[in-house]
Amino acid sequence: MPVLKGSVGEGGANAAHDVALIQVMLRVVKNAKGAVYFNNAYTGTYDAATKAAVIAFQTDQKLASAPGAKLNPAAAAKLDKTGFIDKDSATLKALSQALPADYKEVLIIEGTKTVYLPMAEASAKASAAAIQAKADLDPVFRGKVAHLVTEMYAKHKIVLSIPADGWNRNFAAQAVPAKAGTGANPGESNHQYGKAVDIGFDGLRWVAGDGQINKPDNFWLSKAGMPADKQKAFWEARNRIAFNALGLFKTNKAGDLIHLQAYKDDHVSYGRSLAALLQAVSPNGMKWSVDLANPNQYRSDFGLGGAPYKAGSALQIWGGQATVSKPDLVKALNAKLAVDKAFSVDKFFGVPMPVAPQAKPGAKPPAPIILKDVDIKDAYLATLKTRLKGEFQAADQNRGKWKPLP
Amino acid sequence: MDPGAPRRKDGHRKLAAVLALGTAFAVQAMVIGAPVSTSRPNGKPVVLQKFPAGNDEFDLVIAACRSKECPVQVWLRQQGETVDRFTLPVSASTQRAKPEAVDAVWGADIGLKSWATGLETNYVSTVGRTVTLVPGKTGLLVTQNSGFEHRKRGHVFLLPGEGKLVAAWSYQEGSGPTWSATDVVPDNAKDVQEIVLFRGFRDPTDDSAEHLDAVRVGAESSAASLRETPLPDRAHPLYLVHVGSYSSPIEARQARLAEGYCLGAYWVLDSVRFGGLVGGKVILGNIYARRELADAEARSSKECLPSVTAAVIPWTLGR
Repeated sequence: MPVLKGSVGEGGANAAHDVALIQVMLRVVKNAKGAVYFNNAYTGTYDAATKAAVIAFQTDQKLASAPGAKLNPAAAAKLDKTGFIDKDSATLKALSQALPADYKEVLIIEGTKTVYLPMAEASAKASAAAIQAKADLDPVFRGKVAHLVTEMYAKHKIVLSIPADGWNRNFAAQAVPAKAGTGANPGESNHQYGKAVDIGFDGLRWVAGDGQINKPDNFWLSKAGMPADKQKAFWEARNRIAFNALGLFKTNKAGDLIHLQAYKDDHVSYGRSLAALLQAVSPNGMKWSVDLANPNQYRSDFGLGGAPYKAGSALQIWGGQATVSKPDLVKALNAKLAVDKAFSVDKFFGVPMPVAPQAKPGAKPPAPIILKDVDIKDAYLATLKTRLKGEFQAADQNRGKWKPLP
Repeated sequence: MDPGAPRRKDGHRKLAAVLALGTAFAVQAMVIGAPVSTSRPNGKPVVLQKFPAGNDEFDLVIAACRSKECPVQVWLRQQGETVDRFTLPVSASTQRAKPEAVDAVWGADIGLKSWATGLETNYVSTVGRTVTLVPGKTGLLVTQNSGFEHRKRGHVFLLPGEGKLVAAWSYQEGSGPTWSATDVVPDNAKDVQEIVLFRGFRDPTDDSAEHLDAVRVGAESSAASLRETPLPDRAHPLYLVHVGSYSSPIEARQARLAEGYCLGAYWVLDSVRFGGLVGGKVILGNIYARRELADAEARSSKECLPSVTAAVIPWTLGR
């Protein structure tokens, strides 16, 4: 039976959630002539049409005296107050009994204006179990998210669940949305590090303004035409548990409401955080940094120990298409050659070296090598791009070592 | 008089599909405005780009910042004076803007230069282009792209009328894995232009295809309002770039994931809607309003992944 938290009607508290619930009930309960009592879109605002509908229902059901009717005090005392529905009133019970079967269990969250149907407890348990079973999510974080699912069901009988692409994603999986236009390239999404999920309302069935029960909505509440303010109210209900009770966070990076994460990222730079991870786990001893003017463009010393040079975006590098230029590579190699006389460019790039002729005794030492652009073989660039991609693959395999940095 | 001072009140108005038809003038091609100064974070408005349009001029401007928000606006200028301003939905966090290239997934005509401000948290990029939907009536189509993990795009077509800028049409992405883009195409039969809006939703559900459609935003010659018409239609084909057919959405997604760098931008689409043009239950594909863009996409995919078969298939009404 639908539950009123306060009263509705003349002199009642008329909280929006209670009014909306009564309006929906009167929107689907029909009188003897087959007409509904309340024929407007439900709004949560108590108004003349709601008042008239309440009185008409009470009068038809003989639950209250008709307006203007004169009853003796004893008879009047047995009736509900005309135009007024309290949480334990006979009017509410009668209205509940008159509801069509599909509406018997309708619910509404306090402070909201959207009536919905309870979801299955088994689904909530399955969702929480699936989250707990995800070993690639941080254990503390996944515990909190699973608890969120349980709490949301306990409080509101709503099942929260995670879409197929809302879990942890490796760098390869991130390349797909990156190519499709997200701003977060491989290694730059907070979905890469086990401390973020998208969790929403898939399957929620809610009552439209005309009283019809919509088909199940999607994770984002965007499939069945729910207005933005009503969507927001559901997210806020989720967030009251997630943020206030469980210490979860939204992302400060502009995004959808569906996102939850383990940490506050107001001052996190995902570019700088990735550069630090790349350097920490580099298989080639490379130093990594980001372009100061654009922390999503990366620089590397290419493992040569000198200055950092442009390597491109995370997506380009991940795709084996780092934007290394010949002039930059010439500078990096010449700097290395200047400080390391034994350095071999071909050896560095793994290119077979021709057998060097034996130096004649007493001959002058060879002049220092100074490379030019034309000396840069295509094989050097290809090798370097592969090696840079390998750096990202190493970071991908060591995602557990990532730390959010400012 | 300060060129930034409006003669009339700010013009941030609700969507109103009003296209007042005036006297016919020569059709103007889409004009990419001239870029101007972008780095003057001193509290004065920064004009990013000017778009001349007959007697009117549209200026894309980042207004003076208030608190941490710097409104991005379009100013309508007539005879050297600013007569109205329209504030776009997403504000910048700084007046320092730099141009960036608009590509196939950005959300506007490929090849344009957009003006980007902020990074990660604060990224907002705005691009404008003039569009003549009916002879003699040129407006400014503006697209904004903002956000980081979940980028959102919005499009608004502004028309001048009686000294004011009016949002004659707009589209804003909602929540979820949405995508949208506008492309301005010539309607040679009528010697005008049209806006094609692509709307996508990357539903990640295992057994569901993704949603991608296109509508034409245009003005009928006798109409006084803009209309959205589903595409393709008899006069307006679309071009499908088809890179693979699959027996299920999950199989298509796996194929896309396996080659994410080269195929990540393609959509998992229900093949039924293409009326026998393609096999399989679902395909990996993309749709374009212009053949040359579809051809370029197919070439690019082949270069990235030589083993892929990227076919461009004209898609017309009834197929």
